[in-house]
Amino acid sequence: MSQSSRASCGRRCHRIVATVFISMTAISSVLFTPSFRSGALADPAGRSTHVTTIDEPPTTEEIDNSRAATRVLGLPSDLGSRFPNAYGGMRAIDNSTLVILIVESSKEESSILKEYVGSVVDDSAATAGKTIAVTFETASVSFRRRQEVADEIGTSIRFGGELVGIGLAGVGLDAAGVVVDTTRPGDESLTTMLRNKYPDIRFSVRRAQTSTLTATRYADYAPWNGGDALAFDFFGSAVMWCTSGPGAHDASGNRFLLFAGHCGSTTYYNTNFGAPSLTNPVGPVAALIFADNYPDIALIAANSSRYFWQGAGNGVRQTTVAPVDPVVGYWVCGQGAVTAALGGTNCGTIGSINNQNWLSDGFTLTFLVGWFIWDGSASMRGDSGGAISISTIYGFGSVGTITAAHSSGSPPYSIGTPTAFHRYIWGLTLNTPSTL
Amino acid sequence: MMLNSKPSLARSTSSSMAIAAIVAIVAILLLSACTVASSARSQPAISTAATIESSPLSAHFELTSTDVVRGGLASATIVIGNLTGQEIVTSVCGPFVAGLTKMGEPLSLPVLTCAGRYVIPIGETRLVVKYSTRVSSGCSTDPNPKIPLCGPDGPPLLSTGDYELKAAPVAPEIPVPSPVLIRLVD
Repeated sequence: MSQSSRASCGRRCHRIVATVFISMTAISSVLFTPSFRSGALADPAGRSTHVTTIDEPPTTEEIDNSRAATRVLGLPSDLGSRFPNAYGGMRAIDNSTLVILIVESSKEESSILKEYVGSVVDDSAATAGKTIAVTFETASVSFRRRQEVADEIGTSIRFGGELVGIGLAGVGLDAAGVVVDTTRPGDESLTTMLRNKYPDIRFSVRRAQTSTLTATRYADYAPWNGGDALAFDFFGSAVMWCTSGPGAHDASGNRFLLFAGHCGSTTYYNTNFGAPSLTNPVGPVAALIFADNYPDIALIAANSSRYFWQGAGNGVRQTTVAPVDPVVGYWVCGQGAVTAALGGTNCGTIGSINNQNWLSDGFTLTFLVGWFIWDGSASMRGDSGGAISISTIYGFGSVGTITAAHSSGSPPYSIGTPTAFHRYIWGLTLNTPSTL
Repeated sequence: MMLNSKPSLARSTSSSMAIAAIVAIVAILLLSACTVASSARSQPAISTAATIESSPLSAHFELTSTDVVRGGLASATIVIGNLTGQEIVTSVCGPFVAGLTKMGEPLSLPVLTCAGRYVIPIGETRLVVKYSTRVSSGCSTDPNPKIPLCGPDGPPLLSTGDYELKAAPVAPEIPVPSPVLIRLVD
């Protein structure tokens, strides 16, 4: 650990110095990945099989740092795709100091990556007046490789692969390794499995906070998650209708699920997909706006969590770490319950923001404003209200709620409404590890 | 179905001359009907009712005028005929998305993605649908090559001239009305 980074990370670094395998939350490990890990990553054998347990929530400062870092350099996934062999990850020492991990084995590409990062920082300084210090550290595993491993574990969790049955509930990336959520944090079989199957990857194991693998977006329970399938009572029979957005709370601690205004004001029930039922009430709509010249937003009064269901099928429960405003070029995914039920995903690149137009519900047109488009994939009927997420090395950000889709567009696209509208209009704070 | 019922008149006539005359009339009517139906498919009717209904489940537009002032929203009525003998249950919020296209181009519009239950009852259903007379893509307040910049009143106006009014069913079990020719004017 360099002297400067040790000084800047304060209380956390004292613990890092004191103990090697320190307990941290995912986001704190993202932001303040201690340098002992650099040592581990620089292992000449190229192996880093640490499996650590983390349990401490991140601070507001850390969240702010992560957002600052993202704003400065753009999406980490962009670096990962531009430099698939050389880019190892990124972390923020503070809001003006970044560390980029480089896989030096790919010498030519790593050299170009360094030049690229330097040019981005220079541009940022020239255009936005931000002065950012960037240092480079060595990593043995590329961001892309870690992403592949996380995807493989996530797929195994979703579709009953070999990793089912050892308590895995979620998976994500931190600055230099892979983070897994588990319902059995002390279980040696999990760490043994991970170490044997992925000897090149450093894992952090985190205790799953609430839901277990038995819960899914179609059979959930309070606190409710984003991506839950929602039905309503249609003259006594259950009708699948929309999907829940991310959780949020007000200054008094009242909790809500962000939602889409066009879904309508009624009481919603969590339901399975094939045979909707009214046995699992989530809550009533507490506030709703669906009118000309307004965004498409609503709130369900419900005990909401900081989690959302990600991906196809039953979904993997992931943590929302921060709100993220939509920006052209960001790669986002809609977590609609119908698309997931049919085995699909709804991901694409944001193509435009701050849009407005008349949008149809099949009867009438409403002039909706403030929405954004992500190209490449159309949401399905019943996905509305669902969380729109973005994956970064800092965890998952919450970008919006699903509004509409254009399945015959060229390319097909989906329409989302930024969570900023829900939050600002109703004075809400997104549920994240640092706020709830 | 009026045209389908006309041949039965022939069976009720005893006079052979009358039969021949009615057969001739029916033949003319059928030919005429085919011509109208064909015309409706290949070129939108300018009149208010566009289609000759021959399916147990059908739909057509009804308009009070085919000249529409551009700038705001316009409306049309879609008449659904359900002679199947049973209700048609769909999982949509609403049945149709309507809009204007250049002649011969497909209708392509986004739709809100709520699910739901829309039931087409037995008999005739009349639905008022609204459509925009501005560019269908919408607009953005941020400059972007993919989408027009918003004006003070929203998306740019469509230019004056001839368009087809079309309705796209939101679910496959909903019948499709034939397009109708619309003239946008100032």
